[in-house]
This record gives sequence, structure tokens and C-alpha cells, in this order.
Amino acid sequence: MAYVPLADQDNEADLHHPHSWVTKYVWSQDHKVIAIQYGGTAILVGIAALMLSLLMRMQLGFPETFDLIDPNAYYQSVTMHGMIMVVYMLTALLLGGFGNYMVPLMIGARDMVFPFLNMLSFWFYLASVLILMASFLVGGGPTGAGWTLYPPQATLAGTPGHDMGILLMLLSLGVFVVAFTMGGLNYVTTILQNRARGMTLMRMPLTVWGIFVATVLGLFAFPALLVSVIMMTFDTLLGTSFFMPAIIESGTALDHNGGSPVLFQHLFWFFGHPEVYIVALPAFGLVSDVLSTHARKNIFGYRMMVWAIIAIGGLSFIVWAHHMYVSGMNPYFGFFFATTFDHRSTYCIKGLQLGSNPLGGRHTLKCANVFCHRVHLYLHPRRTNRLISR
Amino acid sequence: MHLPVGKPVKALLRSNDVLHNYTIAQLRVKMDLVPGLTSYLWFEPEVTGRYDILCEELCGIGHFIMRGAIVIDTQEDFNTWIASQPTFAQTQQSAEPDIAAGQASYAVCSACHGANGEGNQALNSPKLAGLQDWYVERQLNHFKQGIRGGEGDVNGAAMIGMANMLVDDDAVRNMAAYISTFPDMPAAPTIVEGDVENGFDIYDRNCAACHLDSGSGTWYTDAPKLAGMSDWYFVTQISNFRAGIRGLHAADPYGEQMVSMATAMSGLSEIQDVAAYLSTLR
Repeated sequence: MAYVPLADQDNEADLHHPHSWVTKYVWSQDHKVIAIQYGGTAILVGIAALMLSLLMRMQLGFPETFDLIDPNAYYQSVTMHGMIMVVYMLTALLLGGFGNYMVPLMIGARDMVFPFLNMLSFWFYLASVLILMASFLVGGGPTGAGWTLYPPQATLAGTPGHDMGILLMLLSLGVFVVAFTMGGLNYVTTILQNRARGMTLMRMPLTVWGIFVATVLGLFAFPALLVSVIMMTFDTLLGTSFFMPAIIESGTALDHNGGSPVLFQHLFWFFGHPEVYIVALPAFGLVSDVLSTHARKNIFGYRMMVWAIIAIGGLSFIVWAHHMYVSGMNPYFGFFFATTFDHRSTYCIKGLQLGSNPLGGRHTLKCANVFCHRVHLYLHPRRTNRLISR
Repeated sequence: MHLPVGKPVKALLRSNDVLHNYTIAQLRVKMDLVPGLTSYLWFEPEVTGRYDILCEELCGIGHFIMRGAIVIDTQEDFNTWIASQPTFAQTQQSAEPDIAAGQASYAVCSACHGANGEGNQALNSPKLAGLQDWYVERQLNHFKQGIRGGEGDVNGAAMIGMANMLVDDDAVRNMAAYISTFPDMPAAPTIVEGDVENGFDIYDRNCAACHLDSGSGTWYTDAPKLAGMSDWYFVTQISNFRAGIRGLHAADPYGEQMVSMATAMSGLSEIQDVAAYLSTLR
């Protein structure tokens, strides 16, 4: 039973009151300001990653031309572009940016339930971005181990940034997980506890549902990333052997023994697969709301859309090894993860409903609306197979 | 590697260092090699031909050039190929190299390369002392077969005739064994205009993974010794790699890797920087 504050009995003193320009725009606890801070930082760091992707394209388009883009620089670009875009740009923009802005407004809450924690989560996120950008400045440059940072190569000679770059990346990811956990607990508590009177769960806009399920996914998935990051840091700094088997680096046998690189892959992809749904579900929710608004019609089959979001989220936890079919793990294990195809059904529900939504509605061809129609490519029953089991 | 067509094959895949992958796209084969465990894979080649084996798990800066070849033969061709390979027992029974015979053969080489293999820049002969015996053996065989010394390699062409004075594999082994007994005095540096710091930066990022931080090279990565060798020869060979004069012969897989890795140096000045840095290594 949610606590529903009545407007005239609301305890105003609980809310933050900014006193100066700094507390209003910098150290702000207002969810809208924090959302803009998140979004702005995410877009800036996304532009940096875009520059890296341009470097990659220049090398691919005109090989032999750019001496600056040697194999080291190319792999560093690949790695940093991937990690920034997936984690620091998309997750921050969609959950931190859109989530912070939309959720309290859409559920009728005054603000998030923990405004101070909300503010802290942004500053920890900013710290993680700065730590990551610092890896461009250290000797050896940023890590070039691929966005999946597989050991043992990430920390051995032959991979760019194997001395300092990888450590800064791992530290930055750890700080990001802390930021995400703070923000995530905030969202879940707000959505469950601070909805306005009359706003039942099955009346919430689908944007909020998408963000809610994505946040729950994140709270379950990011710890797997955190532990793998900590274990890899220990392997590098303390000489432990979580992921390092008996190994030879450039002809010299190292001190490690008994670790398993495949363990890292399991941990990473247990995070990595839900991560793509953390990024996708808020977007699915947003698309549903934009389409229904522009069609001037309620979303078709709201209840099923909600269950589809929940099912996509839940199923995402049992399919992680579809990223590991050729990893050397037991091949019979792979059969289980072909249950990825069961995901299809949840996508079909969404696709068919989104597709049928415009029928009978008055359609305005505004930019946002046209953009959302593109999304049906992902959710169309016939086209989704190719996209979800790569 | 060769395989007969139509027979199922189980490949046992092992790695000593990092994650790699074994992929033959045309045979629908792909499996990671994981250090610490043996992964496996069944496949049955159905069509004869020569295919590339690619590494498809990012393994470091050499990943893009990590490549092998597989030839699917008819059963008869495969039998011929197998018969021409030494058996394991034969490899275990091969005799120690005859250093005295190598010394006798070296007499004609000392005219250019020096009595103790110290090299002679005026005669375009690099220092040999300090090179690993497996590397000398491979290069002599390359010269014998014309894999090195081809078009554009002005000085290498002379080596083809010299190498062919070694009549068989045993003579080559003996020569290589004798050369590896030379005392290794570092060559006098001749490249004075190189920037050692830039050279270190380039070497550390691109070359040290295979040629090692000390420049001593290792059999493990098929990398020859660079430290203390003739720096002018290093400049010539890197330039040859960059120009494709050396390394592009079909039978030279290691040279092919060097052709790509040599692009780490963007021009003559960077090559000289690395040469100057190598001269500081012992």
C-alpha cells in the first residue's frame, strides 16, 4: 500500500529549498536540474565517443593513409567508443536524464524520494566520466581491450593501456556502478511509494514502466559487473588469479595459476545482456507514449504492453550466454541459452501493438512520431530474430 | 595445416597466453582458444581448397594479422603431404648440430660478415653475433628458396647465392649453430639523429610485446633479437617491410606480420628514432 501524501497535508519542510545560484543550478537536488545535468554530461561524453568512431571510420575507409591511427590507436578507439556509448552515454541519458525528468512528473510526485541521493548519484557519475577521460592522459593511453575488457589480454603486454589505462577504466566502472545503485534505489522507491493518489501501477505511463523495469534490471545486473571489475583489479594489482590461468606473457611465465577467463565472461555478460535491455526498455516505453500521444489514442493493449516489458526484463536474465556460444564453455550449455528465441514472443506483443496503434487514430506527422515508427523494425515479429541473437 | 576432405575432425584448441579464436569461415568453424582449458570442436571439411584460418577474439595489437592457412586435400594429396613430414620419432632422433662443420662453412661468410659475425656496414653485411639459431636457420632457408632477396632487395639478392652454398638442411643447421656461438658485443651505433624518447614510445607500444622490452626477442613469438644489432640494417629492413620488398612472399607468414607491424613507424625519421632507441638496449 503506497504512502499517498495529500496535497494540503504534505510536509513542505521535507523538500529542498535552494538558497543560492549554486544550490539551484549546480548542487541542485531538484530532479529536473539533475536530469539536465545527466543528459548534458552524457551527450558531451557521447560526442567524444563519436569522435572516436570517426577515427575508426577514417582508418577503415582509407587504410594506409593515417599514420596516427596505428593498431594501438584503433583498438583504443574501438574500446573507448563502445564503453562510453553503451554505459556512460545511453544508460546515463535514458535512465539518468529521461528517468529523472519524466518519472516524478508522470507519476505525480513532487520529486524523487531521496533528492540528496539523487544529486550524489549525478556527481558520482560525473566523477566516473572524469576518471574515464583521464585514461586518455596516462602513459600507455586508454585501454584497448575491447569494450568487453576480456582478461587475460586486458592486463597483459600486447594490449594498449595494459598498465594504467585498464585500471582507470575499471575504477571508473566501479564508481559508475555506485552512482547507478544510488539512482536506481531512488527510482524504485519513488515509483513504488510516491505515486499521486489514484495513480495505480496499472495506470502509469509506459515510459515509467520502461524506466522502472530497466532500473530493477540494473540493480540486479550491475553488481555482476562490479564484482568482475573488482576481481580484475585484484588480479592486476594484488596478483590474485580470479581470471588468470597459468599464463605466459611474451615468453615469460607469470605467477598466476588456476583462474578462469571464462568466469569473467559469464559475470560480464550476466551484466551485459540485461544492460542492453536497461537501455532499450526506457526507449520502448517512450516510443509507446509518443506514438499514442500523436495518434490521439490510448495505447492499444496497455496491460499486455506492461506484461511484455516485465517479461522482456525478466527473461533477459537467463539468456546471457548467447554472447558466449564459442567461448569454450560446454557446448551443451549453449542449447539452454537458445531460449533467447523465447524473447521473440515478448517482442511480438509489443510490435503488433505498436503497429496497430495508429489504426483509427488521428495521426500527426510530427518528427517525434515519424521517428517512433522506425522502432517497429526492431519489434516487428518477422524482423526481430536477426537482431536479438547476435 | 593440411586435412583430408570428407573426414570428421576433432580439433583440440589450447592457448598459452591470451584468448584467441580458431575460425575457418568457409567450413563454418569457430571456437575460442582459452588459456587454462582445452576447448574442442568437431567439423568435417567437404570441399577441397585453401582457406584462411583467422583469429576472431581480440588478442592484442597483432590480432588483425594473426592468420594461418588450411589446405583441404584429397586423400591422395594428403597422404603425400603427410609422408613428406618428419615423424615425431624422427624429430627426437635428430643429431646435435656439428659446430665444427658450421665453422668450416662460415669461412666464406667471414669475408663480409666478419670473423666473429660483427658485421661490416661498408659491405652491407649486418652483425650476426647474438642472433638466435632458429632465426638464422629460417633466414638462411628463406634466402636459399628465394623467399628473401627478391625484387627490390639489392643486398639480399647477393645472399641467395651465398645461402645456396649450404647444400642441405643439416648444413644450414650447423651454420646457425656456429653463428650462435659468437661472442655478442653490441654493434657501434651509427644512427645519431634519432630521438630516443620517441623511439622508446613507439617501440614500447608496438614492438615490445613480441620483441620484448629488452629487445632480446624470443622464440615464443618468432621475434629476432634487436638489441645491440646493426642499427643501419634495422633501418633498411624496416623500410623493406614497409615497401613490401620483404615479407610479402607467400611462404613467409612471419614476414607478412612484420609488413603490417612496420607501419608503426610513419617514416624514415621514426624508423631512425626506434633504431636510436634500440642502440641503447643491451
